[in-house]
Amino acid sequence: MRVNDIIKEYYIDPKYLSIYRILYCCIVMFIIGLPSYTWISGSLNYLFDPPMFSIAALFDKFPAPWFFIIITILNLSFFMLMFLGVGTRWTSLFFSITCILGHNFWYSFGKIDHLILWYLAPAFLGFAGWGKYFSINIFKKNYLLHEVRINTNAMLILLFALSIGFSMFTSAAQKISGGWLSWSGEGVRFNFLRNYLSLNRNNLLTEPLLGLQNHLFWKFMDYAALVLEFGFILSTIRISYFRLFITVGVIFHILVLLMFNIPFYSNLIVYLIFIDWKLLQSKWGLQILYHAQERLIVKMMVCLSVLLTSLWGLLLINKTYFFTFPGLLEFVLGIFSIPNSFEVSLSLFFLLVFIFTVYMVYCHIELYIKKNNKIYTGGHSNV
Amino acid sequence: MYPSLIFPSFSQAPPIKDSIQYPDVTLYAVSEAHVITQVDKEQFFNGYKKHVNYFLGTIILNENKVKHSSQLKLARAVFIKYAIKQLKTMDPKHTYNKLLIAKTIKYYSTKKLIFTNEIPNGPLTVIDLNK
Repeated sequence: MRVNDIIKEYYIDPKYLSIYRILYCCIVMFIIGLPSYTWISGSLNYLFDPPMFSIAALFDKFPAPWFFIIITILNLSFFMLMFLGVGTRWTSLFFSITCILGHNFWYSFGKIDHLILWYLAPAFLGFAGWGKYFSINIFKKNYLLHEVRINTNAMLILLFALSIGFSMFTSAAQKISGGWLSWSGEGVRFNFLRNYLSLNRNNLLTEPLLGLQNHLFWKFMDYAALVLEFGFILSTIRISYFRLFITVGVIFHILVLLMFNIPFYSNLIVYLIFIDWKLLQSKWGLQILYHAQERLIVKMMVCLSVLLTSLWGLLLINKTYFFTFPGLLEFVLGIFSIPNSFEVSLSLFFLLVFIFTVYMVYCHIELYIKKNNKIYTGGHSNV
Repeated sequence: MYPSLIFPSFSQAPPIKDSIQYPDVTLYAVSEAHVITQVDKEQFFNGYKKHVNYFLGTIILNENKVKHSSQLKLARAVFIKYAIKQLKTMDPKHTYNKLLIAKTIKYYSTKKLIFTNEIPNGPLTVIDLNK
């Protein structure tokens, strides 16, 4: 297979990418919320310990509070403009940049959360054409759709797939150097027990697995995790292989949530880019969204962005929330005094992703059986 | 390194026998009557749940460097003000004059799944809140 053919396999029609943009922004607005950096201040200077290689390491203390207020407002503004399709290529890029800049200081206390993929994605997808449809520009006279070259689109999406693969590869490489390949060591169990005993992390599968001491089971888990994490980067050679790893990756992250109570939502958000959009189109008839409903959808998007900007703006002024502007679902659950509202909304997101994954697997199997039946019937009639 | 695509890995994989050990950091406060009380780290740092052990690790490092840096001295003074205020909020009945940070190793039984023992893992860091 030629390199050019591999790249072209990753082409996603901007129509589908634009749907993904709406989905992506809705996940942020309803579920995970948007980061806020205003909690970082000079009063924390005694705790300032940035990683050696980071933008924050260029400073000897935290910048003044106004710096973080500006970063937060810019980030929120770029997000909303990206959602509404205004200058999407650049607003997407600047959204990623402001997130990365803000997180440089967020991670200046020694702890780094590896959730970078979800806010890195817009930097790639903006230039791949995810702002082409469902844009506020639709109401302008003489509005021309910006053309995106197939090769540019495919190359950017492939590069992003490689980024995911590389991140998983680094994780596997560190595990191997830590002894996960050794038959006597138990990596999954050691970290599973640590999360439960030392960090008090507990979820649905924690208690049932706590007493399990079967070495074969835990070694299987170790090797399965290694195969998955190593295989990701190799699977990018074909989009169909990559999709297979994405599917197993969803199950992997759900297991991590249920066993370790670590909601690694970032990967789940970006895995959605790589679903088989044509198959989904054939099942759900997505074209209706463009022809009849695009203007209506854009009007709804404007309403949603006004609502969220007002809400988040008020929270910013009142300094009600520390780390993030809450997603709408978390906010509503909070109003009804439902405890752990962020965790509840994340769990709902994981559940929806799981149901959707099962549905997509079913669609692929159905398609496979249909194709095989056609071949079989064709062969039979020829005889 | 940040930003980077080098992801965390849960890299350790030791053989698991009857006992398992993990490092931890514990925070104590000493009252004027010399009574030592363990402080809830998350409550002390007021919502910075995921960062608390890293905060304490950085404080231990900075306590060793503070004599040589005027900027760190200023930052330390702000932190001590915060600590006094926070301890007063958490326990209004007592006045505390020292913080102790202890790096420890905690042992757990893998069969009974309970905490069994704790041993020091390095020297105790003492922060005088009156200085």
